[in-house]
Amino acid sequence: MEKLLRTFLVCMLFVSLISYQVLAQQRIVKGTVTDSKGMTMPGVTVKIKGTTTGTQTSLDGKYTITAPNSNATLVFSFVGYAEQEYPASSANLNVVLKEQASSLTEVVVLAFGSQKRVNVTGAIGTISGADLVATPVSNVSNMLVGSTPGISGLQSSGEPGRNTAALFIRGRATFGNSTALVVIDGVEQPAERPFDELNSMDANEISGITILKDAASTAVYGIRGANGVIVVTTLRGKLGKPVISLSSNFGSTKATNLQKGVNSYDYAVMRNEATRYSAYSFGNAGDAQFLFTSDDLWKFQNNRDFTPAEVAAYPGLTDAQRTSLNNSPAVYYGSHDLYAEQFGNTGGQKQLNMNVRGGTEKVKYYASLGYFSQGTIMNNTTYQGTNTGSNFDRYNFRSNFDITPVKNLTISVNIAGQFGTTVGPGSSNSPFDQGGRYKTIEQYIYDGNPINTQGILDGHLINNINGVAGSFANPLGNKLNNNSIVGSQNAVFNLINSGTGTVYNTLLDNALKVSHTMDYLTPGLAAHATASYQDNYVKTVTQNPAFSVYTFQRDVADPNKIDFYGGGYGASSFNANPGNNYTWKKSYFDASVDYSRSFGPHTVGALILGKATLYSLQNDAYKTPSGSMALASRVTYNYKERYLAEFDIQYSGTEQFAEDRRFGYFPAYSLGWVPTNEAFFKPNKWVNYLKIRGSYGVVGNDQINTGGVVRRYLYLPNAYNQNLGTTNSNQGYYLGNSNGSSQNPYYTGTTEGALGNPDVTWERAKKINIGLEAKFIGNRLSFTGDYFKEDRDNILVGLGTIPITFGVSSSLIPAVNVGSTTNKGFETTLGWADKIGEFHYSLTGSVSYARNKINFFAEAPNPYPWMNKTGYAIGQNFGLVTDGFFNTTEELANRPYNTYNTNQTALGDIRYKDINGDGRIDNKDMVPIGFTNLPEYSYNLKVNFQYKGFDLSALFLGTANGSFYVNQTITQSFNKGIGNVFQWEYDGRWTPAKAAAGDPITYPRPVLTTREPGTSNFSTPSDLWLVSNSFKRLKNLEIGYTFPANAVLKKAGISSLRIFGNGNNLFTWDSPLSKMGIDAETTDGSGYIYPLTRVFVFGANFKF
Amino acid sequence: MKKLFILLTVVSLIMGIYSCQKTFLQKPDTSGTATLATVYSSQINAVSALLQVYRTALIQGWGAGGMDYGHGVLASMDGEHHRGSSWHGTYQISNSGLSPNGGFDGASGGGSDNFGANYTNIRAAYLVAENIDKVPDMDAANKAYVKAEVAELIAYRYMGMFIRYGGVPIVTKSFLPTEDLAVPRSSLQATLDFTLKKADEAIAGLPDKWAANATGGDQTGRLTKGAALATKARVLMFAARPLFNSATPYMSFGANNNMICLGTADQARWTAAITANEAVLTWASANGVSLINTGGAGAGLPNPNAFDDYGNATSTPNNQEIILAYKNDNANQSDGGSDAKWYNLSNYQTSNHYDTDEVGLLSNFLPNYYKADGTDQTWPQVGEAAPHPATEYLTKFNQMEPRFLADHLGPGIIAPNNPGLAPWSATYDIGRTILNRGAAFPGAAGTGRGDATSTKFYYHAGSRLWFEYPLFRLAETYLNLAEAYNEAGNSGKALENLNKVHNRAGLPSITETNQAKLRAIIQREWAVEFYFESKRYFDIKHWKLDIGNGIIGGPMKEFQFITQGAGGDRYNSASSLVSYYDAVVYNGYWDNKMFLEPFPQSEINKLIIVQNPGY
Repeated sequence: MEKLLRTFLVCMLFVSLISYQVLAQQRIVKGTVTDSKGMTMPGVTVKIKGTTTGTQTSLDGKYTITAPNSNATLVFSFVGYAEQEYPASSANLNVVLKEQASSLTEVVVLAFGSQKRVNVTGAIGTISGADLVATPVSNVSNMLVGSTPGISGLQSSGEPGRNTAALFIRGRATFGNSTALVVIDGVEQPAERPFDELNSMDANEISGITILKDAASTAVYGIRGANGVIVVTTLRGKLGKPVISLSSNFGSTKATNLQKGVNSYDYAVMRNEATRYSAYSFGNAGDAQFLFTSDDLWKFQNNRDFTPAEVAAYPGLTDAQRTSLNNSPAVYYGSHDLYAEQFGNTGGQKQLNMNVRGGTEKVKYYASLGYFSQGTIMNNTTYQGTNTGSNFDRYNFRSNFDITPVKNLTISVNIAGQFGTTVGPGSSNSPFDQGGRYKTIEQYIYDGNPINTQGILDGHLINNINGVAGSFANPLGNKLNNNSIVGSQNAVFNLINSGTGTVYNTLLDNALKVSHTMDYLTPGLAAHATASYQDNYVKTVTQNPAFSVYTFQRDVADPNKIDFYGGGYGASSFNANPGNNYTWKKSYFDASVDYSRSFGPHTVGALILGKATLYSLQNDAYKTPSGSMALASRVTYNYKERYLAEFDIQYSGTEQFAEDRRFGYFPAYSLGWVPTNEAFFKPNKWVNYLKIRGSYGVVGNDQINTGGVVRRYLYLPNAYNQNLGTTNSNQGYYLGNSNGSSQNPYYTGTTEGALGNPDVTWERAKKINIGLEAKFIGNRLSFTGDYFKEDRDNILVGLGTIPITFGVSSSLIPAVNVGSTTNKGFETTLGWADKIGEFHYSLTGSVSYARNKINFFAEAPNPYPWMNKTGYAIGQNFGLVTDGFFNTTEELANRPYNTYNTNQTALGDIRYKDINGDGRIDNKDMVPIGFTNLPEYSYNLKVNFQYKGFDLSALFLGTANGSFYVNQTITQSFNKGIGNVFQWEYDGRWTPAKAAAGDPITYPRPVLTTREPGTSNFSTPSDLWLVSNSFKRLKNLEIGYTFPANAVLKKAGISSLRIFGNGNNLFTWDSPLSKMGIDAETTDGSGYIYPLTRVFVFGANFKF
Repeated sequence: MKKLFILLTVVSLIMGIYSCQKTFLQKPDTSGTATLATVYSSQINAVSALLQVYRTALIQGWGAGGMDYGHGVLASMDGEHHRGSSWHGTYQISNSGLSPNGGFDGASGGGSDNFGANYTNIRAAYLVAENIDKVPDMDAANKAYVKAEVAELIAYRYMGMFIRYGGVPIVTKSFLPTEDLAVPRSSLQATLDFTLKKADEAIAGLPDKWAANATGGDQTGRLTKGAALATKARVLMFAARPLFNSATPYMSFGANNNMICLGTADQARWTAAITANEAVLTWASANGVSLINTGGAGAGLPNPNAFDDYGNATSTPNNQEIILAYKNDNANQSDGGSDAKWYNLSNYQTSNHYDTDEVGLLSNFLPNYYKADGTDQTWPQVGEAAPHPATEYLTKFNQMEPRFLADHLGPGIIAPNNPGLAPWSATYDIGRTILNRGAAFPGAAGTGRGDATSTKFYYHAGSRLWFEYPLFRLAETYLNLAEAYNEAGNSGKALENLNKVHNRAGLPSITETNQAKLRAIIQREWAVEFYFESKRYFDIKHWKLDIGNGIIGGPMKEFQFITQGAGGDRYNSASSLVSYYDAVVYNGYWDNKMFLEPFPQSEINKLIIVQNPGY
């Protein structure tokens, strides 16, 4: 506290020292500001140079300003236009502002304020609202991936409403929570749920997003800044007549990749191979009964249920019936590609936005209304009133008012609302349990097979075949139902039967901000205060409509006819409150004083700010809101924009830690030098701009967890669990002398609970950043390069070194802040922009690289260094190294002992390398393989062309050095004896013939059942199942045409009209993963993958 | 001045927010949280902590409670029962042996024990003893009892570890996290001595009996002097058996041989075991604990009430033969704390059958049972020319000794120990069928249903699901004495003690005096008398039997039944049985390293304890 006070006083002293009043003679100047086309410009800032005295041009571009004397200089500035200076020598001064190509004068939004880009000393990335809008996806996180260097992400699902991406700024530097902080219009989002509002925003509302990457730019977020900060700014009103914009687009979505299954003939061939291995190599002689006969194979190949011979021999049929039967497509021997059929639909997508923007000197306003809708890519979702497709609808509104009731005072009121409805299959799982839901949706796609999923036949939903297995009416029953323990294998039936869950999401965001300029006290001084309240309410309902289900078989008398059985309706059910509702609330307050002024060549800025947040979640075990408080300060200085310096400090704390350990200091220092602004530097054609900047600072992360589990109040002392047993199992005891006729009396139990860690604290990130910005050849060629290094320590980690003899189970031993990592990398961007006549074009390419390493993980010293996580990247894959397959009995005879399959290895099984050479394949041979799921490199190329009214923009994206672990659910063949097989497995499988011929083999011998030891081929982690997720893709392409102003439009009241076509995730190449039907941007882990989507839209933008 | 005032207002606003720390940085409400002080502030709370240790410490070896691989019971790992379903840990261990890395070479241990649970129980016990003196409303006598109970609970767990691992780390108090936590393994002798020391402490401090007590209610079931004496007697038996009582260990462990071997073969260890067991008998006769033998036939003669007496001894809670039972009377099937799912194979147990469907009696174990007249039964053998008629199975089943009938039911046979109750029959429901049906002679379907299904622990239980695991019953003491006297060369005393148990089971006296032959007979008596009581897994290892050859390792066999008729759910009825034969259904895995359990690899990796040889 004392330290805090001292910091504060030093800052205030600084502020007061530089305040003084200027006294001089006054002079009134009037005029009009126009652009190069002669249009009057409202809202242009007119300032007296060296002061903060200023005004803005009115709606008709007029201004009046009182200059202190005739020697004063007037500065005219407007975003996107070159700043101009004129002496206040005449009373009438008309000015023409010119659009400026260079972005040097661009103002960028930073933490608690904005700065001219040229003066920024930290590492930041910016994305304009227009760029976001150009990506026609539902959520902002997906728009951000690859949009600017240093931000990358993976997407766990392509399901509408659940398709957000997990974002990482400069990779990952902690094995705890690595989620970035999100700030919307200056208001910090809850660290616990940072993306709730952002991902439901309508991109049309956003003016721009700044990514703060280094310590200098994030230091004022102190204890919550370590993972980087995403600063979002919404559009506000501006001086001028109301401009109504209407934009609309519609189009379709489709899966980018589909896992392709084999046809039933190939399935049967491959399963016969597996059956023979099981029956003849592993002694399960009984399995031979599952072999498909040559007649069966003929039927699969010809899509018939009967061979001509069988038809001829069938008793009691007329010739016509026989002919018809010979031509009747199979129902028992059919062929379905389950995954592709399930997700092969084309879904609709629409987006609509209307906004109005304008303002007078007293009131400026922006109001926006948006609608977004995305349809399902799933088939077979509607049957007799069921709706198991995944759909998402969202309404947004936002209104931002800036009211200036009196001079010096601006009151800003922001009100926003988001109303989302997410509908999807799987009513029995929690709607937030993605894994559980996708298992429900997809389990039978994997457990089923191409043959016996009839789906909907002649309008009847089928869940089984009626006939007795093995009989005429169910010829394959015995061959396909063996070892099944999951009941009906019908994927279509199970999807329809899974019901529908709906999630209603309502988020309201209100903020009030008051700004008061105190130029009367000293020029450049202003005070601000913000109060904000957000409220999110999520409600779920589930619905299981009744529908009729049938079994079927071919009619015995006339097999051309199909008989259906059953068909009774069950009971419909609707559950208005299946649980899983939740609500959170957050309040945010800040108050600040800032100061900015130039004295001749010296420009100084200062900020002091206090803020506090309070976040409460409904189902919080502690019933205590989480909060944070901070006092932040920033001092900036530049000399003639030549030498730049900035010092930031935050003193902040959270309720997470013990009372005397809640607060900490987070300082950052940064310097910049712009040689091109030096006196000695002669302006020339070749080198136009150079800036070297560097920063060092410390930031923190209080969102600590271990293994993804957050334990709040870890500092509390050891707790005991009393009166256990009334609801818990394995608790308490019975005492008494009963002979069994009655239970003895029950005594509850008491156990030692979790141990506390009174010293628990935040993660600390020490970050260094060095950057170079340059422009050459008449500002046409630009370069930005950043090198960064981060040392993260105090990472909360469970102690793997504590012996079990301590007697406290590892889940109760408190984690301690001893973990540490290093994360380093670079970002470079090279751009070229020019025009040839009316043809404007630009090309910008960038490469980002981030690689982390665990320095300390408190793990046990394993027998071999490769068994440790320490020394490798967070999330590094570990597994056995494969060395092809066993092709000869000689190889089999000389193999090491394989503990994973009790050494029952056969030809065609995977051959592993005995890394430690002990003659055994076991977990000591598991070494780091491949990379982590999050690629180390990501690169992009942005291309923009403009010719007259036409414009084209394209974004190419790629990654390298990433890996995807393909889950056993996908890789295992014939799961439960009858499960599915994918084409890549069929194509790559081991067969004796291919082995003998030396053909490439990428998949082991198929395994019939999990009884077989060969299952370990799929369940044992190895590099065979680790696939590079690198890819190159045309991520986005937009082609538009803007109509020239013409009489027709003018008559219709349209001031501007543009039409466009846009595609997202268009073409992908060089993606090893896509050969398996998996999109390279998918998060790994689960075997149940909801495919990511491609979107095409067409749209139009109107301005009135 | 006014301007300054505004500035100050803003500044004080900034400071104002900061001063609202109590609002923004709240402290959790901990009023409902118990601490160490709360627990030891009253007798009722302190006893609750003690009884929780009973619950978790005494379950070692039973159900899945003491194990570290999920599903299955010890009987599925020692050749009594089929290995279980493919996802059971017992299945993995039968297939590929014990592993320090878990059944699937995963993260957790893959032995038959949860090594870590030993020390959580020991810590919990020490915490009670160390804090019991703080309890204001407990008298000194009860505090002394509690400390002695703690000593016995610790001795019980050390006994368990001694038998399973050999020498283990000796922990003598509850550690603070700041202390040096590294405790290496002690020698086998030191572990034995420590166990005996704790047992002796308990013997000195425990009461002979618990009944109504100042701590409330009937306290029967808490540890008595008899339990501590029986612990000491069992530990000394295992110290005397050949696995440990030897000059050379079962596998060389180099400089650490003393962790798995006592270093000498010393007959005096049998003498010590005899003394300790005789002490149990002395205590038992003084405290009304005795073998149930109601037939009145007299010494040396078969007990005509054997079926009921053995049934009561193994099943009836609080019967007169029980020295200590594990009292989990939880009857709520849907509660994970109910043990019925591992032991109750009737259709009264409805919550799941996944843990009991494939744990039938193996033909490897079946010949241990005598016929009722004391002779051996002839059962079908693998490799015969033709199957046997099924009626023969029904006949032979009913010819068996009372203990077999009390412990089993078979296809076509309603459980003799719950007569007339359909849920206790194999014909009740296809879901509980015990039949291995469908294979063509001589093939094997290998469905794990075995030769018969266990009904043990449920004599006349009807629909009652809970039972109390017998941890020490007096028959053990007699068989201990029979074994020890035989090893000490006193066949007369050996036979006297053996026949106490053998006659009680309705069988004529055994008269064999050849030491080696009598040893085999005594071992057979152990197998039958204590079938399914979580003992055989350790006995066969400590006897150093030829385990790899048909006991745990090698071909595992069960009967296959050929049936007629289409009534799927009635295949098990006597009328549908056609014939049966014996078949090999899987090969069990055995390696000499498995004489002792592996420590979890994750512990070995901490470089504090050394792994047993071979793992």
